[in-house]
Amino acid sequence: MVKGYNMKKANLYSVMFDVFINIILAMVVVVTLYPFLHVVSVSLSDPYAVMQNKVNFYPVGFNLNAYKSVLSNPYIWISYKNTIVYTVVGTAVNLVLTTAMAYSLSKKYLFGRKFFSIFTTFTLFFNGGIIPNYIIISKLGLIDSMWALILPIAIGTWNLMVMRNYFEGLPSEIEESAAIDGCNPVQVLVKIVLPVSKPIFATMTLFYAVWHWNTYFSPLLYLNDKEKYPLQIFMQQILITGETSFANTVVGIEDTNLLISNTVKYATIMVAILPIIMVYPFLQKYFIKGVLIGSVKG
Amino acid sequence: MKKKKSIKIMRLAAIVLVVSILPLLVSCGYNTDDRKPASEPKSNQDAVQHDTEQDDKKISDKVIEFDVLIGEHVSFPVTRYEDSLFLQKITEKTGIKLNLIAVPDAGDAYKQKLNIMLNSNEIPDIIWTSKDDALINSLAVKGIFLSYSDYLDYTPSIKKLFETIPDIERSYSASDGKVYIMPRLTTNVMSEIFMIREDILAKEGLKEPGTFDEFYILLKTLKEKYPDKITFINRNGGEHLVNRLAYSWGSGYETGTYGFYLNRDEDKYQYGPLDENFKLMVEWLKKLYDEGILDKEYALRTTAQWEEEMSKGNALFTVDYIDRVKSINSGYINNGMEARVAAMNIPKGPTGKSGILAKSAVMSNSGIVISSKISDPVAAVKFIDWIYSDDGRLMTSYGIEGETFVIDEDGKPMLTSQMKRQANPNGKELVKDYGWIYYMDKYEFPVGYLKDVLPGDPVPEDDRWMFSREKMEKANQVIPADPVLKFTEQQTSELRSKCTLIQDYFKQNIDKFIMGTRPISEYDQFVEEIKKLGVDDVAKVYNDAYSVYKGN
Repeated sequence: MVKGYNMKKANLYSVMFDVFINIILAMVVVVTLYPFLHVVSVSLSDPYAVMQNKVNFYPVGFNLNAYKSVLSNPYIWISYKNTIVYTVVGTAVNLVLTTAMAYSLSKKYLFGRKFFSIFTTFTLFFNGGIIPNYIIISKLGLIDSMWALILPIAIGTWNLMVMRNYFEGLPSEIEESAAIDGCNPVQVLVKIVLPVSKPIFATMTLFYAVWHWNTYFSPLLYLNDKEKYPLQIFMQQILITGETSFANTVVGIEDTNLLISNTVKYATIMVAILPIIMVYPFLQKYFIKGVLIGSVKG
Repeated sequence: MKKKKSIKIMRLAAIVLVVSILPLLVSCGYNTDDRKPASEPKSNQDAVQHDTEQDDKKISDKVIEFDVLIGEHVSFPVTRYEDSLFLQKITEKTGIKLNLIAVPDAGDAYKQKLNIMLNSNEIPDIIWTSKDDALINSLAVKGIFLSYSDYLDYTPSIKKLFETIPDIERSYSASDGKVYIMPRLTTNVMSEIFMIREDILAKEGLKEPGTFDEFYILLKTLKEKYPDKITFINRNGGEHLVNRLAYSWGSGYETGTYGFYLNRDEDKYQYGPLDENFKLMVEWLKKLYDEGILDKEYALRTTAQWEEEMSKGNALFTVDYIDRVKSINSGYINNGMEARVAAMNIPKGPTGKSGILAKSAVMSNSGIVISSKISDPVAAVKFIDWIYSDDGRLMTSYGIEGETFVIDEDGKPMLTSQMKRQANPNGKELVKDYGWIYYMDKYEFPVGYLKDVLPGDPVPEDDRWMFSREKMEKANQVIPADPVLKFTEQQTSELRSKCTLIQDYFKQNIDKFIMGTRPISEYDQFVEEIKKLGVDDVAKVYNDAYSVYKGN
């Protein structure tokens, strides 16, 4: 509190300020919660009521048919499984490789450190483009393999830098003491550095996992077998199909057989986001901490 | 396609190194093509031998595999070969095994993947959905694709189609005059109809109008009797209205050609809004708007709002797709409402014409393209020929003969009694139980023409869709579509630069005239304004392209 300031007045101000903040936050809650509630209600409603725009906050003509039809589609389970596999394996590969490289680069005495750093940074600003990438993946025989989704992004440059900065910020004394006790560099990394780096790991896991979970374009390009498609492709297929636009009417095609009801679309959204919604609250505290760690050292 | 495991692991190791340390090691040396072993000559001979036994549909005794890039609609999921009786039956019949690469036909997904494959020269054996005909043709003349024109001796069905549907060659050949894309064909060309609340006409004892003047009186009567309902509802804006009404008014306005249309009396292309009759139509629409007959929000209604009002029974008349008759009426029936919609004969305009333009029988951006690197070109063209043959058509449209459909005594395909239909809702389904592939069918077939009401089934409560079809056909009000024209690159860029301006300016003004924010007395001035945007130049481009089309 500022010196010489009228306490009573200040209290009044702070109460008003709190009220004001709370009102704003309540509005934010309403604004963000409403779309979510709407999606839930529509997915539980009678499609006909949805078509008549009767559904707002609560379901009209409650039924679970949309969920039945979504869940009875074998491909939602297959793509779910695929997404989980890609996310878990991909994130594991990411963490191992990113840690290894970040730790090495954090050591000032690494031979060629500057060269590697500059080379890595370079990729932040320049890349080969989609078509050369596609050709490389194809010539390596990775088309239609899950490794096409994992290896090209095995190390995220940005994440690597955040991690390197974190390692650089660790006091070198603890590592030196471990070395004096007879640890080799790998042992130092595994036994000393990693245990004190949990927050950065949580953050990296979250970053990479969300990245893999959300990736849509590379599986679309590199995978050919439908059995390997991740959830995002399945979602895109359900959500975007059947959007009639005037572009369709120009060619005179509007096949109502091809339209998908909104209830099914919304039920798909619910099924697809539920696991993330359930995991997020528990990871959130690490998330906030981890991001701060990346930005402020010491 | 399968690589040996050890090689794969080594490659993995290699890419780990490349990607983690030097991600920029991008080389462009992909010209050496080691993609397919060249077994061409041998299989060619095989194919020639089979040629002698024409009656046999089998193309090859030993199974030939093709990789096929195909779009997939979520309502008709593609089934794996192992689970698809349909695909297996095709192999049994023709000797061709298709490995389908199913790409979601949603948004731009399919087009993006295809574009990258084309640009990186990693083209699958067969592209089932061409998606971008202009791009395909421009690559085709560089020798990337197989030309159907070169293999006509092997393909009797395609040859016959070239003769019966000259538009395939006229509209889809590349700049060297050869056909590289076998387009999707449609027999079901009907698009929109005048849709009216049949139950209300019957209740009020009103007759269908013969002319637009009588039509106005009819709508006015409806407006007076049902003042709280929307007499004439519309979606997709004012452009949609003039698009569907202009032919009957003795003019034309095709959205696909930015408002230019083929004047069939004078056999030339012209810009609809310049016609005197077009102005009369706008005046008629303005009168409807002024008297509250035409929905006050006609220009802005979205599809969702339109569906809402239609399904509640709040609208009495609309111009829309015939397939909507089905969905709207089944909504009414499910809700126990008495309302029904059906087609009304289209009134005659001042020149005595009436009708709505159909879709083109040849559909753009949905044809079959064969890679020139394919292992066995003759087998491939023969297979595509089979797809377009009567036998292939029945199979790709209706599934397996004797199992999912039979031919009845009239020669029409008829569902077998085990199949799902209204009278047997728990029956077997083409996609689910037989692995039938929706996009395999290259004839867009009229589903309603398949007999799905078998002898002994209860008569369905509502068949106004079929009734509407027959009504339109009987009255000859399905007008053949304008031809699909081909343009040179220069013409395309001229059209692109001028037509969007013209179309935008038209769209801005048409609603102003109908709503009266711009007085109709300024219409002639508007005509002069829009002419300045290059209407004559564009008309010349269309007419040049049209004479090329006719000359071929």
